[in-house]
Amino acid sequence: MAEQLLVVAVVAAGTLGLRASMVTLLADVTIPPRLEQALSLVAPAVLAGLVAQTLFLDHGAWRPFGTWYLAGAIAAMVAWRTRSFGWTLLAGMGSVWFLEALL
Amino acid sequence: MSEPGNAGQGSGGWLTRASLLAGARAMLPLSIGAFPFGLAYGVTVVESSMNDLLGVLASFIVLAGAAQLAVSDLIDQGAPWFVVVGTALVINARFMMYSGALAPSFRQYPRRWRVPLAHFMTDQSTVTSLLYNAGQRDPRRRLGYYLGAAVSFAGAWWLGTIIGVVIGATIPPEFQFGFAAPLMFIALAVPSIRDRAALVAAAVGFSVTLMAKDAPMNTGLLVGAATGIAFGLLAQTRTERPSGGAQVADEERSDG
Repeated sequence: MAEQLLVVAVVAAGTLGLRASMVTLLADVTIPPRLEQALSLVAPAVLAGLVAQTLFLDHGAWRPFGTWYLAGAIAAMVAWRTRSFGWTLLAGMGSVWFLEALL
Repeated sequence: MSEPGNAGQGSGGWLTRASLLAGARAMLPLSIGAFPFGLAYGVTVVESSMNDLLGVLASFIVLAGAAQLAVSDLIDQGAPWFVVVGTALVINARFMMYSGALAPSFRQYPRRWRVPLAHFMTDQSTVTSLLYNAGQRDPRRRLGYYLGAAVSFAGAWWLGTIIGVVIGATIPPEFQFGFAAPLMFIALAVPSIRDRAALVAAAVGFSVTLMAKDAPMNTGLLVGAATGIAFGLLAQTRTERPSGGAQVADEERSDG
């Protein structure tokens, strides 16, 4: 618990540092274009990795093929078409429930 | 655009109720989306070996859904602390970019406001505010709008988290609430793919994370993300080159 608390505290401090970086300390510094490009790629690279880790793996081992894979694919298609949080959530949870009931 | 907007002039006139409400109202659809995701995060925390109260605390002091979910996932897997911290900060590195994008408007705000305001920076509040700022030059309006949007969004996230943690233990496994974690990442990842470079970064990040699943100390995601960013940059360089079309065509011919 103490270690977990420390982890969360350090993550919080580091995150505030990142958020405040350019609006306070470095207000007069412009981000070099190459770094800005790299930062703009953080979200797609990390988030796709997180999808891989949470959908296809379970505690580091392969998740057996099943409803989660299918519902994940449906959710990804809905997200692509609608680009909406709400519809993706509804489609994803809806299809996982439907498939669980069906299979 | 000159509505009176003089109600509730506190704090030396920096905040007007009208601009706060305008921000909150513009953010409403996104806040409605944040609530179920907060709920899902709360349930995930209950199901993981992360302490429940700490999971709630994280929503207040970290205030970043993707990083929070990764933290609870990695803690659950027993990853060492520096890997948990490192992964979370890599996920949140994008805030540096947002900070740069918001800096021109933040420079107009009183100095003491800047850090507290920065804490409420999220993907959603940044994008919403940048859109508003493009057509609004008055710093007071901008500040109120940002605050209204960002804090109402955070409020929905907090409420969702708290309810999720409270009811998490009572939700039967048939409800498949664990699926909410990958679902949340899908809903965030897909719209982040806006061009070819981002697509390359996502595809490589995805595949390498899976390939590196047995990497020591749960560093698979870090390795995957770093490789994805590197390949995305490469793809960007390749698409940028065709400034002189004939020259590129020549190069391609000599390559083949």
